[in-house]
Amino acid sequence: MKTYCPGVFGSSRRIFFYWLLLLIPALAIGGVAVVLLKRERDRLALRAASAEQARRAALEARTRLVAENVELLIGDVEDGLLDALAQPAETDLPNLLERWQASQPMVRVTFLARASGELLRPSATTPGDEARGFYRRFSAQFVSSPPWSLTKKKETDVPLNQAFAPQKDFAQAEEARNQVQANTSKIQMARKEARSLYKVAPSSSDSSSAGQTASRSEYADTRQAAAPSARAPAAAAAPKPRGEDRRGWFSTMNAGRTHVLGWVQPGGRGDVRGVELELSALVARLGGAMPADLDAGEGLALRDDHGLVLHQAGSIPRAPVDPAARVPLSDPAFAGWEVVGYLEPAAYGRDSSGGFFVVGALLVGIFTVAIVSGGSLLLWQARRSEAEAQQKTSFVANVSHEFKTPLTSIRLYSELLEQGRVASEAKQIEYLRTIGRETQRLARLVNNALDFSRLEQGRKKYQLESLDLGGEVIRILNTQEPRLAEAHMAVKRDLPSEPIAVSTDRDAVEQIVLNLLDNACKYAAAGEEIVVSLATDPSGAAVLRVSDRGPGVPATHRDRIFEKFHRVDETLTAEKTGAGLGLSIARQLARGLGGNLHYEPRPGGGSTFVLTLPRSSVARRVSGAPGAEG
Amino acid sequence: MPALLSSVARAGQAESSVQVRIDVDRDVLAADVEEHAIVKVCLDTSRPSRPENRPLVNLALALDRSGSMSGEKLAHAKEAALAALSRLSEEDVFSLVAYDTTVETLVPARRVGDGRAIERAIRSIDARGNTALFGGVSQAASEVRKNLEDRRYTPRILLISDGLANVGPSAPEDLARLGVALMKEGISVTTIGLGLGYNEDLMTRLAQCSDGNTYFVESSADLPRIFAAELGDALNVVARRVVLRITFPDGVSPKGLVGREGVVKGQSVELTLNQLYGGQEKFALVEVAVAPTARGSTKKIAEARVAYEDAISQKPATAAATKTVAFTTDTDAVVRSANLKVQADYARNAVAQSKDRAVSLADARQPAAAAAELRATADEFARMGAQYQNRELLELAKKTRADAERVQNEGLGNAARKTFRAESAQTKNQQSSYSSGGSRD
Repeated sequence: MKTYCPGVFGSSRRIFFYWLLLLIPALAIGGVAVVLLKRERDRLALRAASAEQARRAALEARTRLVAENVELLIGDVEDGLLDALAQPAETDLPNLLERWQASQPMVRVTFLARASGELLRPSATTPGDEARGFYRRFSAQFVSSPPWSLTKKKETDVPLNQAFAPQKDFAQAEEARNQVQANTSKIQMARKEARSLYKVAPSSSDSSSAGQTASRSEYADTRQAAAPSARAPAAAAAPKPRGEDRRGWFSTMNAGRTHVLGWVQPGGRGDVRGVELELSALVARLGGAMPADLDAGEGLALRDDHGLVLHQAGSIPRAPVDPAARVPLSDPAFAGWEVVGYLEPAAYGRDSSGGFFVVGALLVGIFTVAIVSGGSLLLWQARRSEAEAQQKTSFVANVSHEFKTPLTSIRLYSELLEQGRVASEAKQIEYLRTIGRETQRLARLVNNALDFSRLEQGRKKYQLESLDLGGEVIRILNTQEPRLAEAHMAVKRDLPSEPIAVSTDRDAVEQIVLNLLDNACKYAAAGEEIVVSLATDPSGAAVLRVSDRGPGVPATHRDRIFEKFHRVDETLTAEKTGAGLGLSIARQLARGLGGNLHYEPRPGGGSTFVLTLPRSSVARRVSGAPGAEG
Repeated sequence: MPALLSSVARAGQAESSVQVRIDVDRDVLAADVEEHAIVKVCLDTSRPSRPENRPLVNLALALDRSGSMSGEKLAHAKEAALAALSRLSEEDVFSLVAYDTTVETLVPARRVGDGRAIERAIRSIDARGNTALFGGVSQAASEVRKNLEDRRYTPRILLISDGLANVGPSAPEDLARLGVALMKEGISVTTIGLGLGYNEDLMTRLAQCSDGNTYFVESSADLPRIFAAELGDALNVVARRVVLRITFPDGVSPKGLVGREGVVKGQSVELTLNQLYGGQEKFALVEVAVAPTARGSTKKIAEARVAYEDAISQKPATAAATKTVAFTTDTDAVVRSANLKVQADYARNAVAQSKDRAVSLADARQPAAAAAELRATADEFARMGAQYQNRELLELAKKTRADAERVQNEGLGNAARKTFRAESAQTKNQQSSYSSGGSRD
């Protein structure tokens, strides 16, 4: 439609405006929601990070606590052994050393050496594999560099009344870190056990070997009782003032195995007494320092100087990873030993806050798209309805115009006849014939308009009957011949001699053929030729071709010419009147009969409309109201 | 001849639950030459007269629940544990430690009572993770220690594992040292190796060092039987903390112990046993050299004294014995006086030691040398068996030679190595092997 129409333009601008009105708030809401989501995500991430930090700090505290407990346990054993070792007088000593080696689980070998490093006991001739092994391992080492002549490695000259000071620290640490009760009782149990050991003390009188068990009966429940009882003999045995004890612990590697030895030189001079620690027994007891309960995802491990895990609790990653916390033991004899803490990634970490954001953003996106596309759909529908209304308006104008031409002719001739101003009888007959022709044309128009309305409403009803399509086409052409001849159109018939029987609606077929002929007259009048051919195709369907030598239909319009109200927008068609309904109705009828109507360009110029009709039409649309045909 | 036989002197009270007996491989030795003899010192125990008189046990079960135990093995182990539980009395103390990657005390040491809570805990065990064997034993020891001071109880740990320890200390030496320490505390660890995947060196050394029993169970279906045998021992302890001192007079010098380990100190030998079970004989074998002695004379060859704690009365007790032998130039008399049982015991222990050496050689990829070692031992006892008409020795020699052939031809397979180790440890410990365990029920 070439005509400029300010109304349409204005309305599309309005619609665009409405659309913006919808789009902008939707996008704004979406944007704000995304921003809020981002902030929430950051807040969550921050919270997760601080929670992670808190977990890490808790793990570090726990690791430190376990390390402290391990050190306390080791310290208890070390101090207890050396304290007990320092007590007895020289004369009681061999008895103690021998019995310790036989019965003290924490002692592997006891030894006695001169300050110079010369090993007095065990000697090369001492019976027993342990003693001989010890002699072999350490006799040369002691002589070449007596450990007690070196810089003191660990001086543990703790005043007696402070011997259990670490216990106080432990109590504070316990409160400070709010350690689980179970863990506390576990370590206390382990320490109690450890302390009860050195009470296999030098009670020299019982020489029977069953005395090993007898001495165990000294077991005391509380450490308060334990401390004085262990040290009471000391006061009696050494009343004379003497110098401070020298003592220390050291570790040494031999044939790939670690040996931990402790020594004490009572009074700071004279012979040195010592023990080799039963390391496995100590390690076994260190298990008591591991917490019984750990938070989920936490793991703690005690590792020795080779990095070998001795005890572990909680979840330890299988693959070697760097621990989250690491506390080395400060005891020089256990250099390289450490307590390490592992932390599994938290369940609610950064990842899940990212996931929250993605899901949230996705929902916001879906919401926005739904609003915008829903709105757009409504607007599109509105525009379409508007365009249709526009088309209908122009249809009414066209149809009115179409009606006006035959009516004008009829009115003109009938008035002439009425007034008796036509003298010639031949003229009168011609006028009457014209009136008749125009009436027929009017009738066709009305039929078309009616069919259109029925087809639009889906109420078109077909009356199927058996007929010879060739005969029917001949009848229609015969009827229309005068009109076509008047329009200077020569009709060439190419029809088969034998009848083509089809079961179809006679009126619908006539309407289709008339519309095609009208279309040819209207647009291909200059071609002066219409070829109507009828044949059957291999499938048995009847094929009717109506060809002209008109200008043809441009490629872009070839399918659209069958749309209702559509007219090829060329100067050629623009000067022709028409409602743009004929072809649309013809195709709808053809399809309603189970066939089809399509366009083909005619070789050598012009158009061919091809109507295909099946042998037996199946009416596609059947009217709901049987009498609607009228 | 009866006059020449030794008289067994019992120093302890008549009702003493442990008796000492000294046997020599021959009661008559060759005169005027240096003689080598085997002195066997037996500790005989009588069963408690009434079962309700038995000492209470403080039993800790350390159960491997690593992934490899899943399925039938764990099901059998649980079944066996439940069966064992049903044999404990209300007053016995039981604890249950399960170890996988970490160690968990499922039942802290407690009186058995009606046993329902313990039963629930046993049923709840499922398999997962790795094998923290050292930690499991340590934790079990810690549970046992809670009641260690109560001397009514006989402490014992039952360790079950089917795999290689792979968390915590896992060298046989580490576990051996732990065993030594536990032994000093009076705690014995009985080890039960299940299937073909466990480390037999580790398990047998732990048991040996702590004076516990050791078992190799190829099929987990045998577990209930093993438990019954083991519990039979644990419920039958008559003496604890047993120290045996054997003293030799001048002219008799101890050369070493065969089988059970002990310390030779000059003219005396000292052995420590953690527990003695009722109705079982435990003994020590000492090889001695006897200086040339005049024909027709008799001589004290050894004196033994045992000190122990009576498990029922919880009081210290002792017992002692001496042994004299005669000397003659009549070689037939020497052969006639042979104590075939002592010879057989000696041979079994010597074969056990020979098997240990053979395992070492096979480990060093010298299967031929391992076979030669076993063959030499077999030959020695075949000769001895022929000389003394000792059928048991000949049997043993035959069996050892068959072992030697197998090692020669097939090498020492995994199952054979485990059998060698377990049998060797069982022989040295005079452990009643589980195949005969059922009879003690």
